Amino acid sequence: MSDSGEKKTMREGAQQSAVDDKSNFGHLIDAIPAIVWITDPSGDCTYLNQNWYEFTGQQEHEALGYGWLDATHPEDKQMSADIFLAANAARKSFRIIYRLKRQDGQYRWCADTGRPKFNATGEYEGMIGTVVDIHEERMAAEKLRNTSAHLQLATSASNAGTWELDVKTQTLTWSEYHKKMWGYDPAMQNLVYEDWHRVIFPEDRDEAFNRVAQALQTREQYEAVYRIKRANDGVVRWMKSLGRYDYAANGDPLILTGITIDITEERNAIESIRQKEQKFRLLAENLPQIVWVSDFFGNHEYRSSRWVEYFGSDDLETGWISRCHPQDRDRAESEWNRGKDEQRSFQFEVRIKDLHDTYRWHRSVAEPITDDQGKVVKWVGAFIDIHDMKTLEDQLNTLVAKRTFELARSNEDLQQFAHVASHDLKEPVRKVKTFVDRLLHDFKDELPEKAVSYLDRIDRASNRMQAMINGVLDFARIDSSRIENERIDFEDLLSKIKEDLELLIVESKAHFTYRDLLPLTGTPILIYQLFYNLISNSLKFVTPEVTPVINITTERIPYSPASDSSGGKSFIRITLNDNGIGFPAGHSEEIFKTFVRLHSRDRYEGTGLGLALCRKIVDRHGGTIRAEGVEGKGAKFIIDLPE
Amino acid sequence: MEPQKKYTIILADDDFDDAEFFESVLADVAPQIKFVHVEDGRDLLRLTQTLAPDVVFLDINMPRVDGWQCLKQLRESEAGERLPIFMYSTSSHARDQQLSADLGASGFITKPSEIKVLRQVLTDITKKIIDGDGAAV
Repeated sequence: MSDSGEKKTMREGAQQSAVDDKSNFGHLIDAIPAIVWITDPSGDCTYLNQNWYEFTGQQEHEALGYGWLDATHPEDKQMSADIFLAANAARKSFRIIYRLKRQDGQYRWCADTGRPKFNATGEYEGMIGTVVDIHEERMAAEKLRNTSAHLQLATSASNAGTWELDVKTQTLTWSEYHKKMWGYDPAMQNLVYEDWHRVIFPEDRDEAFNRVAQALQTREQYEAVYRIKRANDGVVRWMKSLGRYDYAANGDPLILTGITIDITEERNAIESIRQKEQKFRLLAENLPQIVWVSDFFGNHEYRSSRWVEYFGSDDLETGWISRCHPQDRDRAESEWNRGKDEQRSFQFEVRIKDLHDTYRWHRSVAEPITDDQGKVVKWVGAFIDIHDMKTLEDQLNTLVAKRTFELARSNEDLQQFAHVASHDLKEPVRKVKTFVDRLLHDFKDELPEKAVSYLDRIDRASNRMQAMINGVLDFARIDSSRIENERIDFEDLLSKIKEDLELLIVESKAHFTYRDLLPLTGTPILIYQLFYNLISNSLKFVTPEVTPVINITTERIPYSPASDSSGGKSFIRITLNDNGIGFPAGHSEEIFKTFVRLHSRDRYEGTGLGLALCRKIVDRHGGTIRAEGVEGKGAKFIIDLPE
Repeated sequence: MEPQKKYTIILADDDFDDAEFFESVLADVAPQIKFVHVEDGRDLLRLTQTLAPDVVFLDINMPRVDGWQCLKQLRESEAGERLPIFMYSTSSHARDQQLSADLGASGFITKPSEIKVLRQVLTDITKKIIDGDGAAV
């Protein structure tokens, strides 16, 4: 667009002419509700009516020539100039849609239309045209376009196809998507009713067809769910069709319009839930327990048939609480409410009455069922009949109590018996011994050697019997003796024992080693008996030709909080070592049992009660005794007595 | 006719075998001592009054008046107050030994079954009687 002097002159001429025009038509042109413009053959704008200046706020000197382009949107400016210049050069009509800046700064969509002007001789005089504000229309159209785009998006995203059935011609108009749903080529034309119908599953076909007829009859919405077998690949899909008839003024149906949605996924989900539920029911019905399912509030939705069998009623309104034993009802109800409130699994035991009004113990269990968000939506629970178990348990408890009592009594009886029996048994044994002794004493010389030997054996047997009776007597006695906490000088006690065992000690030339022994605490008679037994064992169980050596030591074991077994007491540990025959390593517990003999009677005498007695004495004092031995190398006894 | 014996021992025991054994050993150990056997405590209490024995041996389990009752009554009587009284029983129970001491018996002897042991016991006791000429054992 040159700004040559020649052009300028021409423009001035045109302007003059426009002014002339204006004087004639100016008021008329300004009254037109549109912007009017005039350009000369070179394309320069020579006139713009008042509406332009009011609209754009431009001044005359700014707008004329090509200044008007400055009012267009920067993005539209080049395009607008190009179209205008091309039309001007070709002297042809044009139409440009561009955004024009209004005085207030807002860009408005406008339609600029121009056409060539020729004089009477056919000479080109330039263009004349109008600019119209089409902003609102344009916006509305835009919106409409967006909406339909959205709708399209929505229908395709929801697997929906749209369709129309012309009732008279029975021709179908389908959306492309609908054709694809049916397995047809999207480009397929001239669809007829049969094209819809034949893809439908034979079993569902009549029903779908009937629905169409029914909707026509009742003038209601058409709705059908059916399966199709896709035309191209035979895949079965579930479809749901919805539609509505449009009627002519005379009431005749014209068109059935609607959509079809693929609901296969939903159907499958429902089907899988249904199958799961069926499985659950199958399971629940076959369980020996009464199974129920309730909603969040505890209203039963399902009860297994065992419920009916037990309660005699299937009425879902009938609560189990009213069937509870009066003594259990409040507790059961509060347990149930608490579990429900806290939304956790719970259980309780309750007596419930059956249809014959017989109460049976049940364990009621309930488990919350939560949704994806962990919110409790349902409860599933059961009543488990534990009546027999419970009854048995009660019976067992009673029985145990009874047996315990009987046992305590028989234990007492046994002690009494042991005491009496052994006391009475001592009498005849002593007599046997006495007369054997007297026989030997008075008639030894007159008796044959064999008779003397027999008498010896009788004597030895009665000795053993006597020792055993004494042992039993002592054993029985320990339980009834009261434990005292007397301070016992251990060395004094040992001296006394040594005195009493003098004969044995002298015979065996036994040697004792001990010094600075700590005092003990206990019942003197029993502690005496304890060490008497241990020492006499050490003297008895010796290897022939070996001089017995008995070593005794004491040490204080202070209370240690770490060793819980001490019971908060400190102990005196007494260790007794001998060099006797010992015992096999595996027998260190065995030897404390009553009447357990590790050695044959002929070789070593013993009643089999001595160590059992020792353990009992130590037990009664709240202490412990254990043995360590190496066969043939001696025994070691470790006794811990409470200080 | 048996010569007049200077000392007297009474044994109260309902067991004849034991009494016979006792008598036999005693006769052997101290023939000069007169032995009297009674079968229960009641007879013993009665005879103690008349015979004024030097030593008394009491079995515990006896009919009518048992050893313990007998011991108690003797210790409470004038005649038995200072009399050597020995409990002579099958029992070897510490409890009996304790009771015996508590009631004032002079000793507790568990009936031996061997002549040797009984001889020893009776020798010791009779020796004291003879040596002490009736003084308390």
